[in-house]
Amino acid sequence: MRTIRNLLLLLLIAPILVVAGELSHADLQQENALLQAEYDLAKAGKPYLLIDLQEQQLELKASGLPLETWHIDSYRRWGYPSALTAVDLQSKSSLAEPEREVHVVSAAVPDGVAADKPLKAFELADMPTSYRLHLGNGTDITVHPAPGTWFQHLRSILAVPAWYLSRPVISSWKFLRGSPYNELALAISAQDARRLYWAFSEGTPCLIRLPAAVATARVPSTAGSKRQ
Amino acid sequence: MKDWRSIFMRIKALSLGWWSARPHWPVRKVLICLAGGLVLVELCGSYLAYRGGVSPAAAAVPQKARTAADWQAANQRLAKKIAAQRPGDAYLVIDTAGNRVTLRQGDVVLRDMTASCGSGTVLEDPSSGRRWVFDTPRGQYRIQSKVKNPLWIKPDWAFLEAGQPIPANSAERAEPGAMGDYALGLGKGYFIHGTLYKRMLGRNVSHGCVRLGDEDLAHLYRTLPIGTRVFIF
Repeated sequence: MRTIRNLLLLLLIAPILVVAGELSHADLQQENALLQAEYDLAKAGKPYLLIDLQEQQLELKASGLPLETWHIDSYRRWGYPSALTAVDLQSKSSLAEPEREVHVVSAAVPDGVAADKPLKAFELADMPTSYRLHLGNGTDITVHPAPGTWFQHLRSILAVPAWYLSRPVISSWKFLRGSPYNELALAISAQDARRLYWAFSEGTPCLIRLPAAVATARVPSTAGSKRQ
Repeated sequence: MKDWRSIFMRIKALSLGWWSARPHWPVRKVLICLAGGLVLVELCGSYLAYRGGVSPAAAAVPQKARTAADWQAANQRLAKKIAAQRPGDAYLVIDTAGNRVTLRQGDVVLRDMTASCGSGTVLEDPSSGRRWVFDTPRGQYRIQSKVKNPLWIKPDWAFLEAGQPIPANSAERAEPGAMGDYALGLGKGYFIHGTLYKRMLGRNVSHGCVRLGDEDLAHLYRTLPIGTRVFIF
């Protein structure tokens, strides 16, 4: 009787073990693809951004060295915003884009006068806290400050259904226009958002590590003779 | 409680009355069509975003069966190769947003210094069509030269910015003392050097070079050899 019970238990547990094994396998494959891409970037010596959704952090790195790390408070994703190979940041957009002060040299200005008028520096405080980052593979990353007050919490809760209702419309529209569309919405602290805007400049490569369960859906079950 | 119920009943009656009223039948048709269309778009959009298949990055990977142990070993090898790219000796990390320079070895911070990095302002000269953006360049550099008592050879922008004519004689460009006691060259005309404006340390005020205080600069000059890696972000 006990043997039968143990066998039944084993039968119940077996699928869970198999799924766990699959998860781990897919995770390892994703890790391999990412490590290979990171190794190529580290060799090149250029700074790059690693968006690690498994660890919920953003890492600005160069030569494999983390220069700065920011914590992701929460995130939402639409589609598969993956970047297992390096994808460059194409552009940034914001409603409050910072503007540089321009000094135009004028022949009419007498000697030494211009030097007495220092221009306002382009500083961290000028950077926006809410903005969009457009990656080369059609993935958009939306950055907004993590809610602090109860009112901001309430607003962010109400924004979730609106976000999930509007994304299919954008997906359909983009599909009709023939362009891929995936989105990642990150909530980080306001100061970190400013620092990310400052440090993640156009042309900087980016890698995205998806959570393990998502990786299972995206990475094929076998891969990689060229991979190390 | 009764009041709430009566309000609810009144709203319900009004909405049902509006909905079932014959004159509004075309409006109802349009609304039904719009709602149906929206549901269709929502379903299509969701399918398009989460449909099966493999990402282009994953699909590009050649097919060959591997066990989990193989993957683990391969990943460990790659992680080691990435770690080998890190500098083994001391290196500098310059945070242009925070105006900080840190001298590090491995994960240990040996010295944390306040600096002044590029102001990010723009200078335009319509007469020559030239434009300068005073940013500290980002990326990985190496210390290429070490100079004691450096002489600042003022570039054209320094004269234009000051509203002065550009001298024809190059000897008139030299300005001693402006760069402090030492300068560490990073290439392309960018230096880590001293400053006369020490109260401005910690703010973005330079023309792209990295300004440091006297003690910090002297320490870097003494301890860092040519070839030291400098990471600017």
